[in-house]
Amino acid sequence: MPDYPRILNAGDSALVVEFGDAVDAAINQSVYNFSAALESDALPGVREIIPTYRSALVNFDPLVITHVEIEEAIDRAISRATALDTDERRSLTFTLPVLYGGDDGPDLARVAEHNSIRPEDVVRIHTSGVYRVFMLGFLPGFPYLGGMDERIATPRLATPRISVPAGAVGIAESQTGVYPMDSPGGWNLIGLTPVQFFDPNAAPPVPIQPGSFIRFESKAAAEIEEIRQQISDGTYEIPAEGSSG
Amino acid sequence: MTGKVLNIEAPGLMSTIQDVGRFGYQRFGISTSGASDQGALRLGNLLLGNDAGAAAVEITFGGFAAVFTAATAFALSGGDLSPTLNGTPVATGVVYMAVANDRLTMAAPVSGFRSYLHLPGGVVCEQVLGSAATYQPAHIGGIDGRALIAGDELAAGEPSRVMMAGTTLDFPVTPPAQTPQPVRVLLGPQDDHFTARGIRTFLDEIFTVTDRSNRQGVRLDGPEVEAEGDSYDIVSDAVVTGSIQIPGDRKPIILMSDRQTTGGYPKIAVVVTVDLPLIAQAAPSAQIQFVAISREDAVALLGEQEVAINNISVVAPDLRELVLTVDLEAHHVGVPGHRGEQQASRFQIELDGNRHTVAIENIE
Repeated sequence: MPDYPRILNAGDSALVVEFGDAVDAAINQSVYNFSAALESDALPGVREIIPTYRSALVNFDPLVITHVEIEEAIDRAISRATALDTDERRSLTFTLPVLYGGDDGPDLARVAEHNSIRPEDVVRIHTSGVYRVFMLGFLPGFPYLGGMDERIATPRLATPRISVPAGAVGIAESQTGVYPMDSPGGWNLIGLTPVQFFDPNAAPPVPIQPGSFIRFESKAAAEIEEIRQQISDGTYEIPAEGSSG
Repeated sequence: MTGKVLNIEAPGLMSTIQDVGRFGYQRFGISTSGASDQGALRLGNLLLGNDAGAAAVEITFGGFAAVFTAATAFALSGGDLSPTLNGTPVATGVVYMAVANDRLTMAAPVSGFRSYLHLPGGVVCEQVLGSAATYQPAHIGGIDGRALIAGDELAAGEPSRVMMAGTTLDFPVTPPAQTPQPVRVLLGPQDDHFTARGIRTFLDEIFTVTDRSNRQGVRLDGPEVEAEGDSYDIVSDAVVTGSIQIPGDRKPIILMSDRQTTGGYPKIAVVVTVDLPLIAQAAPSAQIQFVAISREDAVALLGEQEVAINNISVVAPDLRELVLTVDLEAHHVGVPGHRGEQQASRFQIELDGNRHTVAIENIE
């Protein structure tokens, strides 16, 4: 077993800082604490810091900042991040309104049946979870969420749908997620959120920060319609509260 | 002079508008995209006096045809896809003057795989998240986030200087190709996922580019690269352009501009920055041999390339006795004996037995 954290080469213009080798909330939190610490240094030549499940990739111009300089900065950021008290972590929890079932959640009954529970139990269990956004990837704004209750875990559809609408809330095995844009997909669709996960004209283009948390809230069709209107008026803000989760 | 200058007649295998790329959004899952061959993009822009990262049309393989709808300078960089203007071969790395109804075609590769069509001031299109780069999976950039189709009209930007046909660079714009092509890599970040035999296979054997390659990744065929414990999965992490991942079929995939931002396969090595254009220009059936170098050497190569590019001179054509009068105040370019204020027009001039074409364009 290697000693973590460790720094690895990723070509001549990037380094990977690994904090472990597992999908684990504590490891993931270390990644985000480190990324925030290094980000705050605003080092010249650093193009972007990309946090993922268990490591952060630091992309930089080696003609502006040398590997030695950046490795020293990384070591200092690791020390500062490790010294952070839990209370100082400023992760947000976003609450997403969802219309469950019906035409927008055509697989809600399938998920219920697979787990021998009622559809309303699926909704109750799904809305009681607080899901860590381990990272964003795959598609713009696609959140890799952790922490779903095994009682609603359901295999993927045997035949993926050719088109799943943006905002579709789905379950695949013991993962839950939201489709950020219209795309093909094989997840069980249990509902739909009107919240836009990817808007190239917004700043930032993705409202959900990686390293934050998501919870889902069941809303009636009329409330969803109201939110949809607010979104199109540009007056909607995703309810978010600061906490360490 | 800005405005529509080019009408796409046939996009060929695939043509997209690309620039230096979209940076700073990978943490949100948004890929950098941008020109596959960043070296060619930069040299072509240098030739026309454009910003180094200005947008151009990336033309893949050939089957391309477009008609100019107004007088404009243009230049090609990157691979040689046998370009012609009105049926006459044109060279890569030279500024040409086109007038309305001139037809540019590219049939098939002579060398390389991707050509870049540059216009003065760069190809103008809507910037999305700070870039014109087309990223088809997210439907952003370029024209409506898609590849070019017949009927698309492209606009040129504001030229930074007066264009002269025949202008070149004192630097080769097409990288020399070899068979097999040596490609330098830096091992890691997951080289420790592979057996000693796997690493030897990767570095000693020759791999072939397959036709299942695109802007997301170049898929190679060849001997199987053996991983420790036969495990070809890792906890997903971030990737860079040039990352070489080995998935379950044990054949390398080199990730390119339209790659996803994260990946779950172990990455045995990363192509060094200065050799990325070689991958962008490797056509299906091209052979590749990976060569591991040190981090220090990779950075030194990058530094040397930067110095070389900064020392490039733009070489004006030798026009001998031809005198062009350029009145920037009056926005007028003239040739003795002719006045070309209102309409674009073209002249043939004979000097020392050589015929030169001179195009007069409106400068507004």
